[in-house]
Amino acid sequence: MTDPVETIPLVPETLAAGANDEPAWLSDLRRAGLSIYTERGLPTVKVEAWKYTSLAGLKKIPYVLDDGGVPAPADADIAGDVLPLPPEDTYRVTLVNGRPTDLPTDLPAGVRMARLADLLEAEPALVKPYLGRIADLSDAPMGALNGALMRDGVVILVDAGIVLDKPIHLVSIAQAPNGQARHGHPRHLIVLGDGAAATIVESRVTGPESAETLCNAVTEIAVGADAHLRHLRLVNRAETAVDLDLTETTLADRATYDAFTLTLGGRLVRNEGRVRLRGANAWAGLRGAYGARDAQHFDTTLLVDHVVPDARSDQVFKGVVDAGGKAVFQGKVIVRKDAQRTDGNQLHKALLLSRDADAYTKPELEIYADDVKCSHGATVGELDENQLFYLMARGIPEADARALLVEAFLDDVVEAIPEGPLRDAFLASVRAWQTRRHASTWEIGA
Amino acid sequence: MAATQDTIDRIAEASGTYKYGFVTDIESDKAPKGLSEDIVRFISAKKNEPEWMLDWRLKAYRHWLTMKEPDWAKVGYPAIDYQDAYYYAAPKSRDDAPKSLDEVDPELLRTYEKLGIPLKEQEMLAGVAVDAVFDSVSVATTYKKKLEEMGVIFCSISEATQRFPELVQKYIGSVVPYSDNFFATLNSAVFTDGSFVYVPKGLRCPMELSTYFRINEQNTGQFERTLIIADEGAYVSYLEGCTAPQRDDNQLHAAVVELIAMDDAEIKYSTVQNWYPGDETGKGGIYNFVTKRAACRGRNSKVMWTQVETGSAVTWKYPSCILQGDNSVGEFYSVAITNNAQQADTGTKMIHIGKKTRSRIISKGISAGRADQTYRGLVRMMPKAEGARNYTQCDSLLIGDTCGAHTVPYIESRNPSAQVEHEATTSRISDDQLFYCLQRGIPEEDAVALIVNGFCKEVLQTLPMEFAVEAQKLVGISLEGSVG
Amino acid sequence: MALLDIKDLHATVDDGDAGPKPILKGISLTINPGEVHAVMGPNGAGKSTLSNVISGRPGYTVTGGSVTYDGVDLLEMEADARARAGLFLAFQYPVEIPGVATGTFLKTAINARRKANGEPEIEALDFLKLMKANAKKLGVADDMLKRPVNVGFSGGEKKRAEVLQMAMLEPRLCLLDETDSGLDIDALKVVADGVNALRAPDRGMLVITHYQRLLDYIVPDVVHVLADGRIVKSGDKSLALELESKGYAEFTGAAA
Repeated sequence: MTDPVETIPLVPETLAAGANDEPAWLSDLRRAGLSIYTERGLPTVKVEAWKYTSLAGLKKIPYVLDDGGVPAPADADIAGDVLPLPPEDTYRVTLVNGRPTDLPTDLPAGVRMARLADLLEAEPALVKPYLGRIADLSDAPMGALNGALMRDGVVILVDAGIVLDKPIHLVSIAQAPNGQARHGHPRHLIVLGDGAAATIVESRVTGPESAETLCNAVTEIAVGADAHLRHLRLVNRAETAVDLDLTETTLADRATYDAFTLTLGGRLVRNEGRVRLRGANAWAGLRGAYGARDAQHFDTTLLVDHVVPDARSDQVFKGVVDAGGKAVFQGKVIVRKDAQRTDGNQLHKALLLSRDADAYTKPELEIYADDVKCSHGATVGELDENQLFYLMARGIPEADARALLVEAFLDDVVEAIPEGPLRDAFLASVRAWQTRRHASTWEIGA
Repeated sequence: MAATQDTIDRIAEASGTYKYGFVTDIESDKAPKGLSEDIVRFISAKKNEPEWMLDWRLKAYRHWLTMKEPDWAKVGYPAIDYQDAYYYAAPKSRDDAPKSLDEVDPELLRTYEKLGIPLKEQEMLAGVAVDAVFDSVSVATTYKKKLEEMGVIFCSISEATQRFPELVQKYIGSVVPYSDNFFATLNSAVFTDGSFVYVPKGLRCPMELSTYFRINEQNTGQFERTLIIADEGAYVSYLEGCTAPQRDDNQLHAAVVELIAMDDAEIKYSTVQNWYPGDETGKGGIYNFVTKRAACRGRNSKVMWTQVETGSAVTWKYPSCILQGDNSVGEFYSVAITNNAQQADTGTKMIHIGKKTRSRIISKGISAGRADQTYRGLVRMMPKAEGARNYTQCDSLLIGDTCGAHTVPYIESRNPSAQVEHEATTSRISDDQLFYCLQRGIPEEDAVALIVNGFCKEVLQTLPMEFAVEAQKLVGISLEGSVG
Repeated sequence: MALLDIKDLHATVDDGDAGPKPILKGISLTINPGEVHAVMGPNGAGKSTLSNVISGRPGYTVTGGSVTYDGVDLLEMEADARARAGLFLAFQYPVEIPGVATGTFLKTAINARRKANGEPEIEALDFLKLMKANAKKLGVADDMLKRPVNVGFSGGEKKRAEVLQMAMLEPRLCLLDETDSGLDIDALKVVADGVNALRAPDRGMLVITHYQRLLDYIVPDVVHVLADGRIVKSGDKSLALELESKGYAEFTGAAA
């Protein structure tokens, strides 16, 4: 009998040996993850949650497991893709393949930022209550694989009552040097104590001259009672990048989680967001926008789980799909049996700009309580001909008019971010994306 | 085991002179238990079918053996033992039937009364062995004759296979192929009877074709097969089922309905399904696993499905439209009510292939008791569906806090000029609405029925008049005991 | 016999986690057939609670006292039974019932009452005639009767529809809960005319309002001032005018 591990994609042979110096709970976590992954394997399109996103292509790429040691590229090499936020206005952290390379030294008291690898070695008790306990990965083979293979990531702990004065900016770089494809499994942890507040921004980009990368990240977030987390992300990877991101957040009483994800780059990007509303009067906002084209495949898969009564959630995503692009939106709201007076809303709007653009939408409601207000809406279509004509009638050339309308369509949801430098940075990214694609032909009506 | 042995014994006893090597006594009015090629041959022989039909059934049967029962629907039921069932039984002998309404389950009679069903029809529905039934048969015969004079063929599919084999051969399985899905494939192998309708070019069928007539003629059994063809410019409205719960001993129902609309043709297919839902604890009840599909083959063709689903323990049903012809239209209007321990996973598929095809989906789901209900729908815009449009409105109403209502729409668009719009809401009957009705003197159960009927109005009003009135009463009856 | 006899009525409202909150703190009030009583009072005095408790709305608990209607204990009856016994509440905020035509709704209500009285259902034609006649009097357009109950009605239309229902159901006791709210002067006149037309020797009315304005048009026999769950003063219609000029402050002070 051959070891089954050998036949499973992405699992290195050496894993069976494990890291013997780890605490037992961590080894258990890895084993649990591995058994889920080996049992289910790389998800295929026959698995409902992956119906529209195929990972078959991964098997053809000779990825090796990232072992660290990849140097961070110069800022100038990635500046064009990163969110334009002045370094002095944020606590900036650079991660290469999910491993923090530098950590800010000027954090205010009550805020701790550390490498997961360091904590697992020196202070495992600090992360034990959270790691693998927030995210339920039993139905997520890729997340489970992360559990088996995780080595490093960033840990952010904000003590009760602390309000962070500046956003934390995670500049997350995928980098596979020397033509060797790499896969990595970063694991991040964000914990806000009761009454804390923070804004965490992330720019996911690719370093220069990188070979194929697979970033299979899991982020676990716990937001304490009366705490507020704003979580803004830009996914702006190169065409060599496959990003599978799973973020699971748990909210206590009156906690809020305000997430915004803008996806503009990467060959295959899946942003899977899961929120468990475990506290009364908690609110989760999962919002975002995307622009897919040229063989890009962007998948947004959301799950909002109303566990307790009196919580609210909003999901709003808008996306543009241009020639060659493919977009997937799967959003699900679960209202558990006792979650009375839930208010859950969901909206997805996709614009198809080309004959060669596909959009797949599956907005789901699963409701077991009767005193709830839940709705979802979804539209797929092209630019409004009347609006287009109106602009052209004012002398604006068709291409410019289309660009203007596309930008307005996306900006509409970007404006969910409160006015200020953060919103401006995201709007600037949308604009940069527009400029890049401006040369591409508008196939409509052709 | 014993059942299989039974078949083997019968085969062994036989002389083997039959040309297909088929040996079971075809004079018997019941095939032995279980499913095998022999049973398929038996059914075909019983119906004196041409060879092509037998071959088709056998292909289906062989394919079925390779298939797995689907498990993706949000329904749960104990495993079905397909060998522990009879696949052919002649209509019940009149000796077994109740002699009068006195012998019929009083619960059933109470429902008939509430629906306002005339006594004679009650007897017919309850299967009472009385001659009165034949009155309506003769009425049916008169109508049939009239229709045939006009060129409309309306008969059982068995009869059609004998009399119009070329039509049946051309169209059967052309919308739902024998290999389509587990239950449809099973149906293709063992279907016992069903309706056949052909409306010739340019003719508007002047009356609603109703299965009321058909029930009188024959017990169509659990594997019903219906085939309706509207030729160029033809119109037909077909009503299936009835509001009264029907007596039925078969637990599994796996029907197939195929509709074909040619250029400028229109088919309206309305269903009221009120099979036995099982008792309050979820014991018994029909498993209703139905495949219904329409092909809008022609330009400007139109198919409209309306369903009111209140019965059955488990419903698995997605009446669909394949919109091939340019400008063709598919509509789906559905009311599904689940109470007590009922489960329903139902919805539709609209596959837009042709240019400027349009579809509209209005689904109203009501869940009460401990019932679970899922709307599952697919809207697919194919790359050539220029200017296609879909509008979907999907509303769920929950009554009580022990039931579930789920919405699972799939929207796939591969054409930029196609527009898809989907809206869904979930709500309950508000205390304010209920109190408003009570304050006007309307008792609680009537108030709930009134409000739910209002909720379903958009769908109910698409039903033919005489059906709509009964369906409204049915809504109230189905929800009895759900409040208070 | 008094039509409505309220004695020392105490009631609480179920206030979620906060528990029951006392609203009515001992109200006594007697309405005889043919009389129109007005209850006035500031916001939060318990005016709407009074009409809700009388009509049997869930969410309130009677903690003391009695309500007798035509000699029977009203509090023992379910809300729909009270309505069929002849009690009508014109809602401050009429409720929308999508998909149910106003005509259908009214017919259902009339037949529910007839059934309870052992009478046959109303003939469709008779009903239609009756409804049209009443609608005409109140300036209710025919198309409104076909529209779903209160759905998309303007504020004025809703109140007119309430009075139309009142006329159709021929109650013995009418409770009008802030029927004047949200009405302009023209609409107010139409509604008041409708109500006045229903004044009859065997019918009683309880008109609840915040403003004296309505009482210019529906002139009451008795006016009660409600403050903090108690009737602090009763008098004839001049009391309403006194209130108008002095304001509620003086009376609320008296209640404290």
